[in-house]
Amino acid sequence: MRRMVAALLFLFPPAFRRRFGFDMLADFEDRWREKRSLRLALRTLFDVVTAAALERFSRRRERIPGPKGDGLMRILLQDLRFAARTLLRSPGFTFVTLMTLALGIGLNTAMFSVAYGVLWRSMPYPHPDRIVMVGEVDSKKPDAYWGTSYLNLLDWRARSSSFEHLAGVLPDERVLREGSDPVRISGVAVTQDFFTVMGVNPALGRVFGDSEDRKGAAPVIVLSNRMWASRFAGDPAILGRTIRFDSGEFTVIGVMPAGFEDQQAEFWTPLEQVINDYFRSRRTVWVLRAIGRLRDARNISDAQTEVEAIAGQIRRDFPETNRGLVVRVNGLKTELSRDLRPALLVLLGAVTLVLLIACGNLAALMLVRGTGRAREMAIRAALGGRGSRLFRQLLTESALLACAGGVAGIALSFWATRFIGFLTKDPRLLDVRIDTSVLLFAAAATIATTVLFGIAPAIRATRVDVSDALKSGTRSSGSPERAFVQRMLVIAEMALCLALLSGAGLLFTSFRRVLDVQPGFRTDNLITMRVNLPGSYDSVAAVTQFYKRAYEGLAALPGVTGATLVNRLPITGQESNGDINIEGRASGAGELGASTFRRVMPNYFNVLGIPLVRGRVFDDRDGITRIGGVIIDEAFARRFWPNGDAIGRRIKIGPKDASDWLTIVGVVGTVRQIGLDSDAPYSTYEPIVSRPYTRFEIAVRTSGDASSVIASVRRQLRTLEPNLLIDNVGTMAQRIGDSVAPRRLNLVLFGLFAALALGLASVGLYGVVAYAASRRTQEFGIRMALGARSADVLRLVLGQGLRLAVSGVVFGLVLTLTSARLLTSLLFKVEANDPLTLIVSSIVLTLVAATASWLPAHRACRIAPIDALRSE
Amino acid sequence: MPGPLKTADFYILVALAEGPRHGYGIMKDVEHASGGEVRLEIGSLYRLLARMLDSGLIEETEGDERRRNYRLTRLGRRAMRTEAARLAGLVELMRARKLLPEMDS
Repeated sequence: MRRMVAALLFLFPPAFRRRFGFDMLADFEDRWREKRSLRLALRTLFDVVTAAALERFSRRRERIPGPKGDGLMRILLQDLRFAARTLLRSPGFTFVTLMTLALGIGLNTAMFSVAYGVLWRSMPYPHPDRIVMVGEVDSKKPDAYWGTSYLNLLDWRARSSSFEHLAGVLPDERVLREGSDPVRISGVAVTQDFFTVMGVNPALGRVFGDSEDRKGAAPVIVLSNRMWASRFAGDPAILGRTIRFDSGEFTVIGVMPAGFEDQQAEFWTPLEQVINDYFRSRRTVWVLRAIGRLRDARNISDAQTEVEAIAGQIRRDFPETNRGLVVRVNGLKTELSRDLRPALLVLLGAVTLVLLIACGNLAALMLVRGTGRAREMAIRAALGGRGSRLFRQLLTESALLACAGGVAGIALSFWATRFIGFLTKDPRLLDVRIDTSVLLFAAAATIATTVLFGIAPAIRATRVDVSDALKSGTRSSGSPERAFVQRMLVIAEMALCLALLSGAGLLFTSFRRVLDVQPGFRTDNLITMRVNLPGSYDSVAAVTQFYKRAYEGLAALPGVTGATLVNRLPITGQESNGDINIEGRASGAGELGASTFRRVMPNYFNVLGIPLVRGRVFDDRDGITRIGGVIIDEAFARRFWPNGDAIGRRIKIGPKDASDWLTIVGVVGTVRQIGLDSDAPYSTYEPIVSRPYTRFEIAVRTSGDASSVIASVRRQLRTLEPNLLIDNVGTMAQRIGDSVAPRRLNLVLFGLFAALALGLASVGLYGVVAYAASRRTQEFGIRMALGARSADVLRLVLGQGLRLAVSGVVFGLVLTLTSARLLTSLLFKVEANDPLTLIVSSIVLTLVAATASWLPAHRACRIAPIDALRSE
Repeated sequence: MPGPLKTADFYILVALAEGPRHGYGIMKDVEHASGGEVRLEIGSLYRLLARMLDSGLIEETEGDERRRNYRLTRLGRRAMRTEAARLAGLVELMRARKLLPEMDS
């Protein structure tokens, strides 16, 4: 609260703020401490904003010489002062309007600031629009990003002319062993021209050159500013120092400037030193990303055409690389935010609808107020106020309201963006800044809002027939035209609201369907963690020895019913896969599909609860005395051996010429390896002892609550190997929860917007119905005096509200049916025009509308006829 | 100072007549003295204080370490008395013409 008041003080003229700012804050703190209440908070906000406005206007007036001054300016100031006074005279109206505006503009600004940062803010490099990402993607599924292989990159580089430089980037994860605890750090291995492509110079030292980006050269490394600051305390003597990773020692030659971590890399190593011979020699391992800087005269589509032509030639020359891929060149920012784009655009659209609905309410409110002031306008017109002058004055009132609302909205958006931190860990979404563009957006939203809710009522109010308005009593009756506009507004609000409700319904159904997916193993009471053995485990024997000790030691813990080790547990988010080849079945490369590979201990299927369908699982001899056995999943078996004769067949996973034939010994249930909502490739399992990893994952099945056993599991592992790196510790339930976090974020935000829309629209409906009912009080009195029962009056008023709601639903259905497909990419196992969702949202909207109209209806029918007759 | 004082200004002067106070003290005193009729939050309070400082009705004095105190100037005291006299005169007039509801009897 204090920070909010402090922020609001910036509304005052600078001189005033310098003079009194600290005192004001101190006073507010005392007052707040004494009686902390919503009432005080609102009073203070309102007071500060209006006082600041008044202070600014009065100051400016002093600078204008005399009352003659510039005519336009004087009128404007006069209007502003008058508007401020008028608004202060009806605090209820002003308060409701301000809150509605603040909510509408604030949420829009918050949503925009997130979307802008992810999608549009230019990256902090020179001419960032010239930096592009080049890679192959599946021509049928453009979200399946393949990237490029080392050899293909060399060809693209050599044969293309679109780029000044084209750099290769390979993910490079290492375990840092400096200080007490080992820590896993993600960096990238890059070709030496990567830094030229980005156009960024190191803050300290230098980056590597051609002579270092070479196989066998002395290992060097460039650190990110963040890593330098957090791991080495910003030590200026870091250059030339050797730092120790599990995988070897590197000499630090440079530190990049702060803000160069955009791609979440903590260090850069020379690609040629890091890339292994397997990657280096195979066109069919798509492990690299290519990032290039376009030449001045070339644009993205030139580059795309050129690289696609080169890639096409490569595919003809090397048919094994021909996989239905196509080259895509895109701006770096666009490519890096590609997965977030649809959701962000949909959410921006949704929050705009909320603002539109808010505008509808405000316009209706202004209309009612306009009617109340018809007499005032008439008198002023009669005294010689010209229409244009009155119009301008009313518009000034709206603009003043909108500006105050806009300012409050910006304050609100600060809080709203914090809230996103509770819903996501995605660093791209958390890097939210309120900068000039965001403020410009807020200003534009404010102006648009003013126009939307201010102009129509102002036009109407100034077209008053003077004599009519003066003749009718203090309460002029609403004109049929105004009532019509009001009804149209409510119907439109209802329609927009239905679109949002159905959208939220679709996202909700999708989310539920994702959670309903059977993962293929038992997810309850399962602890998961990732582990790295220190570099001293450099023989197969040492590693397999540790495996055995680890799982025996863990299984013996109280509360643990089983423990197992695997190279990767399920729900990985993404993982590599290999081509399937089947003995006796001629096929082109990749034609039969692909499979992920897991290396497991014999008890893996038992501990995870994956059922054995046919054949057998591994035993202790597999991988040691019995080589070449493989277990496949049911989907795999069913696809190629639908008659159930998979056992004994031989397959290869990976390149034909580089892998051995494996004999199928068993078939197990299908597991969602990547995530609940991704259609996974097939799975194969081999014994872990046949190819032990020093980086692996552990699953521990517990008899009771998993989280209570985590500490003892950790302790046990540390006892077995004090230098073990343990991270990503959690339960399988958390792991699955994290995997659906993006969907949950979309659902929560969209649901929030829909709920707000529903609230605003029902308040709007309530307002219209209640107002109409109060206008008809006398009529109801007469009806009741003539024998109408109160149920009749109830039906009359309720009927009016429901008619509006139903018309809104009808328009809303049309709107939803035409626009819902915008959501398609966010949905899972539900059609965009799912009838059930539409029906349920329509019912919900109608029920809420019925409640909103029931309140005034109930009041109308309870009034005694005699009072009703007297009411005017 | 020409013309009658505004109500809130008058209350502030009265609050300061009992001795120097800081802003928060003024806020509380004014609210109490006016029976909740006049409530000043920090925004409007400091606007008024700024104006009164400029016209010399009040002046700044040493405060605690967090903020300044304000006290009446001679001019301010005179303005307050004049205003009180004016108000008293009005009440007198009303009473003489029997326009007030009987309060004394």
